Amino acid sequence: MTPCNTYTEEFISRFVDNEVSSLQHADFVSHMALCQSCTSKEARFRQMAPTFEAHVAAQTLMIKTTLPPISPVKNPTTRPKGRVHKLASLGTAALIFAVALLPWTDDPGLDQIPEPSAIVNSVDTYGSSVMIIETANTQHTIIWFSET
Amino acid sequence: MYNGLKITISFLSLICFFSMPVLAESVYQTRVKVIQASKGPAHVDTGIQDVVSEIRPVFKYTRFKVLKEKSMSLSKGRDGRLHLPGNRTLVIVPEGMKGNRIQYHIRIDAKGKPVFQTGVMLRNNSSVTIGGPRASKGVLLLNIRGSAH
Repeated sequence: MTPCNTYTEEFISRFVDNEVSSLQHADFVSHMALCQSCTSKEARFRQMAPTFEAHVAAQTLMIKTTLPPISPVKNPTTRPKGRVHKLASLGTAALIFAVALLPWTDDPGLDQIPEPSAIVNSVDTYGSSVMIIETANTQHTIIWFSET
Repeated sequence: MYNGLKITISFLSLICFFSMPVLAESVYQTRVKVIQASKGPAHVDTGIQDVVSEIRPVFKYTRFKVLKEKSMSLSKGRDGRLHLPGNRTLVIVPEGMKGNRIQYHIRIDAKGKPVFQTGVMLRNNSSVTIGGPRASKGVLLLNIRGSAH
């Protein structure tokens, strides 16, 4: 078999990997019909390709299995002690509980705008006159009606 | 273990937080003071000074006497009744909470017929005074205090 220097091994490798232009592809196919050396090289590269891919896959799999799984960093030396965390959680719970109680207290200091002690939605005196009063000091609501 | 404890505490806290209004609506402590207001030598019974201090500047009465006092633990929609002088009856029905206020329906019946009724939103732990029904000497004042628990 006469050695051929028309096409380099790199070109043949790219040909196998379909990385050449269509024109170069057609020329090399025509050349292989006449050149046994290049045909042999092309066959060799074509056999190498699956072997190489299998090798890469095996290496990748080995990397995956040998490396430890990625997990959140847990450093026992920097983590606060369990008791401290427990107290912090209880404190948070107590704070939430205290906030929950706030709306039910009747501390006048919480009300920025003074409100009457009672808001009268409706009143029916069956013909009698009625008067609704709110006192100045404590906004106490008085409903006064005159019996007929 | 630690995360489980944290989640449990947080969950219980949230339950407490969101169940407060429900618990608060369960019982409405309602206290009624029936006061007779009249003219004459100044006198105020013990226990009603705070109410009288609100009334006195507005009306001409000088004598204030407690005729009756009653505390009732009412649930939503359940009426509380109190007999008043002059064959009258006071009917109070808590209708729920709206914010920090208790919704009350209040009615006065005289000889079996309603003569007065109102719907009020009473601030929790506050009171409203209804006045006007005639008594033998003067008028009646009905001081109604509500607390939601």
